[in-house]
Amino acid sequence: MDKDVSTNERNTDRSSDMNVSREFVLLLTTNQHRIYAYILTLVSDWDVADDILQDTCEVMWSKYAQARPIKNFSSWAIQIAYNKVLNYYAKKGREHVLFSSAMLDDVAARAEEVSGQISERVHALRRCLAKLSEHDQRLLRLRYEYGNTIKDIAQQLGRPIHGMYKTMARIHDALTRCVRRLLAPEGWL
Amino acid sequence: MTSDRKHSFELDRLLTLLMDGNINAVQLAKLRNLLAEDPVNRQYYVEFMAVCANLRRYMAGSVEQATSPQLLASTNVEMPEGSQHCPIHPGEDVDAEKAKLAEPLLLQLDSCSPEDRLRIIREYAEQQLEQFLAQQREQERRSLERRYRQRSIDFKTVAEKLYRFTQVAKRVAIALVICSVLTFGIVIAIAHIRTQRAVIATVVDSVHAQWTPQLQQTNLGRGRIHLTEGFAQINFVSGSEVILQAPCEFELASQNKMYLKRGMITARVPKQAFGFTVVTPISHIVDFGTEFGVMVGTARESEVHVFQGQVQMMCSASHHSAGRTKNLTRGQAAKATTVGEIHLVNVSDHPGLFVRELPDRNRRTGIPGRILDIADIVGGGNGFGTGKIDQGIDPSTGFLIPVPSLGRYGQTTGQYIKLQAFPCIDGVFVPDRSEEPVVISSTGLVFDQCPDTTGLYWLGIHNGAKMKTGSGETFLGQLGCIVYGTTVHPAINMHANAGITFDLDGIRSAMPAVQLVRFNSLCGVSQTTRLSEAKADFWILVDGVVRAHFDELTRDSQPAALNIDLQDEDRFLTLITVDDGINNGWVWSLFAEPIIELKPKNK
Repeated sequence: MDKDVSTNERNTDRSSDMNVSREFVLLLTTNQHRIYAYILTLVSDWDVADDILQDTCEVMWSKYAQARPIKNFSSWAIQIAYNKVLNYYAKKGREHVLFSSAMLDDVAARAEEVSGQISERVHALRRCLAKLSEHDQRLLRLRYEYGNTIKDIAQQLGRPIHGMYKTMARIHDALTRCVRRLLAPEGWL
Repeated sequence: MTSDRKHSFELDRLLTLLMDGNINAVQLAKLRNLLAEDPVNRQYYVEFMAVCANLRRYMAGSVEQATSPQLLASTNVEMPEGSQHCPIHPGEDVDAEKAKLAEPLLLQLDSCSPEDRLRIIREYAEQQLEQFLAQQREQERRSLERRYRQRSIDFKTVAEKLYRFTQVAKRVAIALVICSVLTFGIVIAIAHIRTQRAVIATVVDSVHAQWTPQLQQTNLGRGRIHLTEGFAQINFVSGSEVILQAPCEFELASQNKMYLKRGMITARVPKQAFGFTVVTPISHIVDFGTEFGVMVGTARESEVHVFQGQVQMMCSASHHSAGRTKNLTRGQAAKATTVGEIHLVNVSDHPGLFVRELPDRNRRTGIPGRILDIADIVGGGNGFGTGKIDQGIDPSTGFLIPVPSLGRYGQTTGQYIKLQAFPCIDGVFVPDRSEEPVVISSTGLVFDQCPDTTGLYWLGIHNGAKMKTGSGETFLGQLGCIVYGTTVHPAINMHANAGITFDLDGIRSAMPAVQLVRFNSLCGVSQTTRLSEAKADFWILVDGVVRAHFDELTRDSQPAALNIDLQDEDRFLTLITVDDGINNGWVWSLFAEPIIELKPKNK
């Protein structure tokens, strides 16, 4: 009899853990890109953003069971990510990073707001990409789909590096302004 | 000026440098000032970074679409622990992501029966799941190690939770992966119907081409196409020109992209069409304005040879970013393997592997997928017209001889000469029964029945039938009143005593999609030889076993017909001509129209 009770308790525990895990996975996958965009904005480095996202995920998972129910998962995640970014800034030294403390707070607030619109921004970006010339789309594919640096692309195409940076700057500027225009009527700005 | 235009061009330039990891200290300080002095610039910066993050999310993934993290991303399942890059979740772009994910399967799913489609999808899902589970086990191990080393938390509890979490994730992954794969099949079908009518490329020329399904028009849209025989040239709307060599299964994806499931192509890409991409089952080959050839074998491995310019090869089978990309320039070649590695290969191992111009349409031999011209192989070609007429091989040294000349003769050394520069020819020799056995292959096969010969040889073993005497006279080889040694009537010219062994496995690896069925040829002594008493014996062996033998043929004999069936396990085909042991003069032996019949390999 005691053995049965013990087994039932274990099964109940296991079932509960499965529900927690499932819940966490779904929340994380729903918010992961938003968190990533937020981190990238604060550190402006792809590799560093990858690492901080990974650390953030680990902390979130380790604390999730105790912290639940969480009213606003994305805000909770962003707070953890922000702390991780602060750690990174502390290790790196202010002279090697882009923002001072005051600026970081300001940018973080803006980044939180912008990352909150991430789905709308992806949708708008797709429409903006369709407006680019085939040439510009191909350059973006080489950059983002195939992971080349701009310098590599310039060398491979036999074009001046400085000119390729100008071209890429123009394309990114066009996309940024296009997304802004598309979102403005919706009241996001 | 509106607020969104207030940022300077300088800001754009500095941000681009920043995100490319190429900004220096001075530029960083300048950027810092620009951002500090104006909140409008900061707002622009934040939006700029969102565009970068979204571009990565939207555009990345198609390269690595065959890897498990991307599959998981598309199925909304992600492990929080230890993921190398915590793959980006596709959000509301699930359909688009799935369509991208499906690219490698398009070629398989299109023309399958419903049963086969289900089987392919199931196998794919299982394969992806297996990769995912293996990755999870590795990540779990790494994560545990790191936690034990670095974190002051309850190790045991975390490890147990991790384990339970993994079990749950596995089950969720199974369900979502299978659902996802089934769903994107439907998405793709709809997308195909929409885009099928757009013209992507046009068939501009072909030689002995046979298509499946039969082409109804020269304009090609999306859809799977199989060139079963011959050659064809298609020109993309973007300007890229592609020569296809049968058997070739491919699909046109867009004006600048094609999938090559199996076969060989040569692409010539003008500058304005840079970025032209060939996607193979395990690699992406991206062009930067150049000419290159791609071969995909039945084992899914792909090989690229660069003739001009530069291409980038990426192995999508790799789970590791390091070392899975190679930039190749003129004269370089590389092979992507199914284990996710890219190896440089020696171009000289496969001279003339790719056809760079459509061959003479009057050729009756050397038709890809149907007939392999082994005289062309003797001339350094791929068996389909890339070899040089009259080029030959010295049977006692293995050296190349540009043109035949009777002034060239010698005595056998009894050595078998292994050829390194000819992947489809094992070696050459001068046959003569002496105290030593006559070796006829690099593996040591012996020709026991070799007769006594004079041990002399004249000329080389040539792709052609031209005979040039020491005094400068030129004769053309002839059998049955047909002049041989042309592209229309090819021949191997072998003045006795000479032997050549073809490596059938070498041929198979150069043409992985076909099966070697039969060796056909005529053989005899040229009717144009001066001596009526010149006699030659012809011996044809497969793996050292005599399969045909003709004694004492003269210029007045009827040419002998050879029809020798080949099996998949046969490795060496040896052609030998010998004199009667008394007279070696003017024994001009020919193998006329020597071909191997081909047929597509069963899938």
